Amino acid sequence: MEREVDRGSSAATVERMADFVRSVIAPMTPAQSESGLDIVRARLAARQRRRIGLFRLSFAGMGAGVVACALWLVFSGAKLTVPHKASLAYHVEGGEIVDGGYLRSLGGAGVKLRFAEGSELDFLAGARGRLRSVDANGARLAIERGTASVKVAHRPGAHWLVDAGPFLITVKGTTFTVAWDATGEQLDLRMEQGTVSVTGPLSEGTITVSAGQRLAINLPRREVVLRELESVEAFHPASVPVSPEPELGPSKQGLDPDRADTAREAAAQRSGAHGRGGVAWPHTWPAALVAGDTDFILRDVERRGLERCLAEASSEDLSALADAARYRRRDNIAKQALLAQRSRFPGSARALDAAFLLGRLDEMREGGRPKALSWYERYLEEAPSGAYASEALGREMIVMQELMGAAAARMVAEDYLHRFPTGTYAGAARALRQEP
Amino acid sequence: MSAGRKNIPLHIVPSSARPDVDDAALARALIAGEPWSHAATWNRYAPLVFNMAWRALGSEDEAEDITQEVFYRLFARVRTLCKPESLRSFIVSFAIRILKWEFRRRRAGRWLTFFTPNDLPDVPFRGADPEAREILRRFYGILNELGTRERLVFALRHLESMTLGEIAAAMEISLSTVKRAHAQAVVEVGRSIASDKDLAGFLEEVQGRHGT
Repeated sequence: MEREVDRGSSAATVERMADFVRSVIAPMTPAQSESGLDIVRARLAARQRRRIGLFRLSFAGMGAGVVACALWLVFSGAKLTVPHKASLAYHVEGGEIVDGGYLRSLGGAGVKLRFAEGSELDFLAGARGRLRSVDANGARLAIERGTASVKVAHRPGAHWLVDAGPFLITVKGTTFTVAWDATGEQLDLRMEQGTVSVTGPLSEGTITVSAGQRLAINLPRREVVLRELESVEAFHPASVPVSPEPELGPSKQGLDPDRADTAREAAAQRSGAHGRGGVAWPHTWPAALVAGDTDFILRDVERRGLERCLAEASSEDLSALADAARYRRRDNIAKQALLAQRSRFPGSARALDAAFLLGRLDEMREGGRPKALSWYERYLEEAPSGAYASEALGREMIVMQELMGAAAARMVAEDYLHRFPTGTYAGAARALRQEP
Repeated sequence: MSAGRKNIPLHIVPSSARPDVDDAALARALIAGEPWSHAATWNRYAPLVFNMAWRALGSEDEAEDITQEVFYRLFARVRTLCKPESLRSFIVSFAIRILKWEFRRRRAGRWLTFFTPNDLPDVPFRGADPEAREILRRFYGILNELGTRERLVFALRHLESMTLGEIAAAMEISLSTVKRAHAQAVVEVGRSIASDKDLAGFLEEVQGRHGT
């Protein structure tokens, strides 16, 4: 009887509360509706592009197989008289090429493609892309996300194409850095040498970008900006005033040792001391990171002052700094760079990724696992479909099991299997689910 | 150029859906990939999903995310819809599944964050006055204590006014399970409200204002 009275009064209370909640919930605004549909469409378009790309590749692969078989049948036993022009030879450094031509980093520091005729393509850490095709005159590469540094050797008949999101960059012989932000649908192309032409949305014809220029395209805002690269006043991490001659040391220049050291290094890079003679090597932090020169970045930070760098560096540079510091186990600097990324560029793809990376840092620190769990949780809240979603959920499950036992982690395991049934942690999740 | 232009993401939102199209025709258009069908479906059902998510979660931002997730999955998998005339229930079941996942994820996360009573989740309600916001903050703090199933059943029954039978069908569980979860949720929420003097006082005041 008492239980029924309790239930009755509870029901009445709950109804009053529910009425109140319903009364204060405002309907969806037109702006929310428009932006929501835009986001859904952009995600669908990205999905469609991925599927079409894979379909084309598999179709092309099948076609190539059929042609190869036919040729073999026709010419088997007979010597081919048609001169064959071999495709460019290349090799992959820091990673491997997997199905679909995708480049997978093995060390987390990005992947480099080095072609026999001297061209190079560096996918910076966090970038995702693939090698679509290679022939005797060049190759076609696709950048699906992140930044890539491209250096194409100039030679007659060279024909290189770089897809960056929906944009197509046609290259002859040049050096440039291109970034495609798939989330924000933004292209950022910085030319160092030569000329490229860009086609794609928002341009009626071809946009020509020459040395020293920067092309920035923001699709959602429908903005196309072509301008000179940042002036010297702008923050440019490694663009230190250097002597053109690397042998000019501190005694001749009056520089302090650290500064001279940095300057020497930058000059050495420019003059080809790393075996890239004749080509102006990119001297930004991201480029240094690609080159594996993490010490250069850290020394540059020490010279300039960490606080200033954290306050003034671009999002891309902060990301490079965080990576460099992580690789060199300078966790404190990495953490500060990641926190700066989150506070200065909130909502950006890099800021979202920073939450996951902060979790990784905390997880490796003694006593840092509870904090790591908070970061993973935050990342999953902010970027449920983000690049690290599978990893974050998997790590969350593992750390939770270690801290709180299997029962607590089982719920996360269920979620993991629901979302990533073939993911890296699927085996661990299944085992966890079956534990008594 | 033409190769690049094929992938141009359009950002056009039609002013309204086609009012003359019923759910079955809309679903068939979605399955056939008619260009207008996404906007029409969104305009017709996004407000429903958004309100459902907002009331259930108590967060406008998260409701936006959930709504986008629901429609992204819907458009990507609409070919699995066997009965075009059931488009509405198909969308609602998508929304419920995603909400369920969200609640589970939150509960898993709460093992870690250890909310104290003074550290309840913020509930930023557009247009609500400070007192109402405080009430809502406390109310959603109470809901956060419920289990995933109980919370979802509670939200669908009391905030969405669905019948227990509809809830059972949408959640793909038995009616008796829904009844049990509902009864448990009502008692727990009622007790928690009663033990929160401010919340209980506010509701009494509201009741008095309405002269009942």
